[in-house]
Amino acid sequence: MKKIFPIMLILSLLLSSCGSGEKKSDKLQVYTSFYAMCDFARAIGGDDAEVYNVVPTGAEPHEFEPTAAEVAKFSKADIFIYNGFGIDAWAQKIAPTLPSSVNVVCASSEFQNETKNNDPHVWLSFERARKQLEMIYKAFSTADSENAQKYLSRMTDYESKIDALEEDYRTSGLEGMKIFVTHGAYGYLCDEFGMEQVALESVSSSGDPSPSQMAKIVEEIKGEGAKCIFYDPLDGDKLALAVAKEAGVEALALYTFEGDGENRDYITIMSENLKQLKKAIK
Amino acid sequence: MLDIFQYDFMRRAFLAAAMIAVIAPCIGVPVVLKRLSSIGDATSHSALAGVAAGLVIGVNPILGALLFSVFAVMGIEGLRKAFGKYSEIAAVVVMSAGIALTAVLTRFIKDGSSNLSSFLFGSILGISDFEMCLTIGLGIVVIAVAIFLYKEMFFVAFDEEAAKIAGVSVKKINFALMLLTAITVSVASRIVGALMISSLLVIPVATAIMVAKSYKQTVWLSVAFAEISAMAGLYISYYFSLPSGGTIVLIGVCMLIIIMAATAKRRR
Repeated sequence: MKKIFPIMLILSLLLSSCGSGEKKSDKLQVYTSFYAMCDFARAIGGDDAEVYNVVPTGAEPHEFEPTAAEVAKFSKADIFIYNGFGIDAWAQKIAPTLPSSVNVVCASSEFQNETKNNDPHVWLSFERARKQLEMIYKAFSTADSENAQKYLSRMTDYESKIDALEEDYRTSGLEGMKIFVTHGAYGYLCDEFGMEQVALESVSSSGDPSPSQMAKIVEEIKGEGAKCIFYDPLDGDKLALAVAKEAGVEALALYTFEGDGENRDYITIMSENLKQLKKAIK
Repeated sequence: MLDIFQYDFMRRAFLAAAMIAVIAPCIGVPVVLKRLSSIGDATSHSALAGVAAGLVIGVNPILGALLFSVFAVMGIEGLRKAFGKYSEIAAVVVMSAGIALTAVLTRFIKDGSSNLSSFLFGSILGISDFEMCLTIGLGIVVIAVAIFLYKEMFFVAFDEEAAKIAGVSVKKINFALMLLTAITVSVASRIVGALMISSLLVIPVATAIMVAKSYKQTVWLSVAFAEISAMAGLYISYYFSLPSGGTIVLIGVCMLIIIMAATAKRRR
């Protein structure tokens, strides 16, 4: 053991010197817990901020653990954004430990008392997405008041795109529709447009459904005469395909925007979702 | 009572479970007797590391999973010899390496199109045509090997030294067994889930060991126990609305406990 200590000491010195060797850019340093938050922050930050997505799409968010070097970076950051509601529990734990120089944004803090079965996918509601953007904008303008005007105009820009999309949703005749989904993550989206989701598995459950749950949703799809079952491609399509085959309908992708392999933005993904939802209209 | 069979996904689940319940103990008996009970977990965790590696370097993740599970079992086989009597350490070392490697490799995934585990861990309720064929094919291969190499496996499982003296090519047989284990675990994880395959490798065999009086009996009884837990598990999970994989495994554990209690006196 005695021999190991000096080696460890040297190693840790080496490692820490590597960390400080980075040149710090004069742009705002923004860390976001996952893809949806990252997209919102990029929309507002534009060229004036460096926005980093901490959990890559495809990685397991619940197994995620930030490295010591990352936590060091968070504590030197200007802004740290996470969603909350358990979807990024690691960030929830880290946030209170960050120094006061970091502007911490919990982007669901305004919705904490509206417990919708603990569904964290608040950004799937346009109204809430706009609120999240506003909270993120506030953090940007506090951290970098010089560029506040730019951030404001980018936010209004993004919001007007969201408004336009919302109008498309409103006029698409989604109201009163019952959609069938493998994972009940679309509650906020459904609420906003008067739809109802029937889920194979509730939003909080992980792991496998039971055969009777499978049978039940198959019967409901048949009984309702629905045209498809929706699934999030991030979860894989196995169960959706099995249900679709059984019920004789199509399995269609409906994104939760927790991540995206092609780096598409919120507007693109939500327009994709609208196209898919329209296919379900009878 | 038979409305359970009106669904195609249930018929597939029964067929696949029946197949896996033959495959798993056939491999499980020699594996357990070689003190490698945790090989299933070790292999499936290494396969997950393979999926991560595939995503990092841009190779088909399923191919990555297969390659890594072969590496894993070869690693276990190599380490097993080094530890001699304590061969169970080997599987645990490989499993730890697999889990740790997954955690580390995950950091380098740039843009996956879906969650890591959805590539690897399937569900018995979501079996596609292709997977059904794969299961049957795998079953035929495993059963054929179990029959043709029956005597050799028996020798190797109990006493490698004696096997060598008896003229059995221990290395080749071990290689075949390990390769078969790797393929079975990684393919079956994708089809029925990692929990079910790694449990069915061991639990029915453990139950059989309690009552069997010979190697042959152990094989037959473990297949029987595996079939009972698979069939009963699917039935119960349907009528009581429980997740199938977990129910199947729990029934296996219950049977083990009951048989242990029933034979406790005799063993003492």
